[in-house]
Amino acid sequence: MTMVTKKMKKSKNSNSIWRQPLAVVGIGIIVIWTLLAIFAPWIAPYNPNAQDAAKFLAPSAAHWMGTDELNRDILSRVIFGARISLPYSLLLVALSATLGSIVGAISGYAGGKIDSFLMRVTDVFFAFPGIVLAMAVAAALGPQIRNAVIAITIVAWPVYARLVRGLILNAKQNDYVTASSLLGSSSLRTLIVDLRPNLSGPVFVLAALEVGNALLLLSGLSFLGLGAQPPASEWGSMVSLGAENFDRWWVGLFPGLAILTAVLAFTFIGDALRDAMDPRTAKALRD
Amino acid sequence: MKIHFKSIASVALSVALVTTAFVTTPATAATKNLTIETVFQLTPPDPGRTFEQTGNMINHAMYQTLVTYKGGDASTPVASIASKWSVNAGATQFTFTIDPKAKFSDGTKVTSADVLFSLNRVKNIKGNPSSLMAGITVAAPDASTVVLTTEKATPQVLAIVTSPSLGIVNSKVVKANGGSDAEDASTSDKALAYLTSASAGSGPYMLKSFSLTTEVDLVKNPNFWGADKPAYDKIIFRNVPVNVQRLDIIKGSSSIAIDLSPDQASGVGNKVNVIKGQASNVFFFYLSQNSAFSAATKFTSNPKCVEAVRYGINYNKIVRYAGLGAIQAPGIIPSFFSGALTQKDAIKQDTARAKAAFDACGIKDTPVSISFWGSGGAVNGLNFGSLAALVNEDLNAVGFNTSLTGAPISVSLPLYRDNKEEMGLWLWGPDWPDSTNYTESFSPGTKVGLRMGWPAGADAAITALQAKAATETDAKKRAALFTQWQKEMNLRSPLIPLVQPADILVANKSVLNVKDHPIWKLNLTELK
Repeated sequence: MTMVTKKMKKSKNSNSIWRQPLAVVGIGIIVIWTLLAIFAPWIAPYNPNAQDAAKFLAPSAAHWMGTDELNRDILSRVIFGARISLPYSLLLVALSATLGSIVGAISGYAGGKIDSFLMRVTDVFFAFPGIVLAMAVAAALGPQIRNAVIAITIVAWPVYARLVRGLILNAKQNDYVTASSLLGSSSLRTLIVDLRPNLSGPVFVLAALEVGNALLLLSGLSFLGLGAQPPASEWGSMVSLGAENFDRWWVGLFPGLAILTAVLAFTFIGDALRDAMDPRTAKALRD
Repeated sequence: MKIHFKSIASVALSVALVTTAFVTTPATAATKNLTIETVFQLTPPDPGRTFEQTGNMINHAMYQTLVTYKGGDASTPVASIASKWSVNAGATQFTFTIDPKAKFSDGTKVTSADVLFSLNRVKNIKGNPSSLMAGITVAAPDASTVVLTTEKATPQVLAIVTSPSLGIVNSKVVKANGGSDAEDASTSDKALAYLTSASAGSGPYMLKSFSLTTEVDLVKNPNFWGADKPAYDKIIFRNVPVNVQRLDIIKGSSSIAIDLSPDQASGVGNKVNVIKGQASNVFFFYLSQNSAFSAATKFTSNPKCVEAVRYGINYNKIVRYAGLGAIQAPGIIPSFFSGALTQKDAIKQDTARAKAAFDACGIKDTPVSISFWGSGGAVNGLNFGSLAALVNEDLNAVGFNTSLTGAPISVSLPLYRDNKEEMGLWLWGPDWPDSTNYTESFSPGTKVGLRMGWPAGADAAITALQAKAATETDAKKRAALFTQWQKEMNLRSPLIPLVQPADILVANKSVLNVKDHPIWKLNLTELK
């Protein structure tokens, strides 16, 4: 066990995310967005919903990113948009990871008919194209950012269920799990105490990789009018307004760049975390 | 050698394909198609059930009415199926003589029996357009004469019968496919499926295919009997978002874009014609008067709350958003109809008055939702979400704790129709081109009146003006009544007219005679 731990530590050190330039860039971008989100009221030059400026002003010294069709300052709206897009993306990843992990753990640990049933349910969700299912759920629940989060959670959990089930099936063959059971540990204790440490790393890596996707899905639903409601400054709905006014390139470009940078940053971080915490998968992908 | 043969075979196949393409090209080029792009406001094209703008445009091309209008005019009826008509002195009896040349697309003659069947069917189906036939009785004394009778003077009947919903169907065909004009037609009529797959009218175009969400195709009626023969072999309607309409018309992949705003129509280049007019749609805001519906409507039904909203809205900002050519709607009746209010009658924002009324209303911080057609819903290029955001900002400044609840049209429209909104943002386009359409739809206890939770008897003075305007036959007196009715509505109704947008049609220069009409938007027959 000691040798294994040492090897793992060595491996972790050699793959530390701080040694990966892209990861550092990603973390830097997310830190900037986080600070902008937290201090938005002090940083944003205008109230994001104030309709005091002129319509469709091109970027200028007074409005660095121009104004939109309702005379609102786009820079302020992009900054305030971070308060919706980032936390909700993280929230829905946390929700889907939790839900998926619970389903996967029960399925993998219980086995038999329960496993078959839960995996068939998972297959059903896998069978639908994600964005289409999310649109259907969001439309049925009513367009709201909260409902969009629920819709995407419903779409996103199966991937975690599959992952966790596979990990549990592998881990429960280990002697220490058998020993724990023979010593009288309850199923819950075995799952939480003995098996959970094997799951948290891969689930965390997957979750990190999925944040970017979640942000894109959330923005996509808002773009389609099924997420954030006006006048909320959400990046996807801002891009949607930009798409209605192609000539005014600034209306859609800047919120689009906000989505791009955030997704890219989360992807960089996710990749680095995978390299650091799951070197086998990383190596397989590199090879 | 094998490779050599393969190469020869490939070349031969390519030559064959290219040759085939060239051979088939002349046939394709000979077909004159017209592609119209719009955001569909559509139900299946059964004239008895259709009441929406896109549906009106399509049905107007397939089903002729007794009389109609030329070009963009909506005041002087001209002959259509009826070649002659007369009105009695009391405006209670309207006699139409059917043109002996009139025939349906299957070649059979149009008779008074078809008119009788069509109008009674609309009445008895009890769909949305049934209200057009309220109080009207139809008789067919002989094969070529139709008489419409009303109990009281109804001078607007001539305008009403131009509605595409009152298009004349081939009664034999429709009956053979489950149609009924009996009093129980609301349950016994089964012709909807047939009329969604084929048309049975006498108009210049016939239905080729219909999809509620993507595309509707019309083809030329080879038996069309009218003087203006259809200029296009095929007309394709595509359901396309506004921004894509703009791109398509610029690059020439569509012929007409219907829904562009003035902003979007600017800079479309010189390969297209931009036809500007005044839209017949009026966007309005209302507060539910149904005090029992929710905690918020206990207050929204208070006249002081209505006053707070009426004077809290910055109308100039809304007009600026709507773009060049848009005007504030001083009343619900559009600017070109009889008795329309002028801009000097329009409500002006008065924040101090609004705040005082807000305090008197007692709503304080009770949450109120503003419902509207969300998910990108837009008409005349005006996005309902953006309009709602503008109003919301003003109401928040007054003190209201409002939030926006947009929903797809399939969800939001039933809520509006069933009076299940606290505050709503909608529009009204005329069902027939006469101001009575507004007095008969927005007064207490009428269609929209009930949607606002404003029952009959809620305002006796407004109802009295409504009744007088409905039966007045003198044009000047009618206009004065409509004006007075609107002024009273602006004082006491829960209705707040916002904006009458500009109407923009953008057409490829090859399409001629494009004119905007308040009821059917485009007269496809007149397009050359």
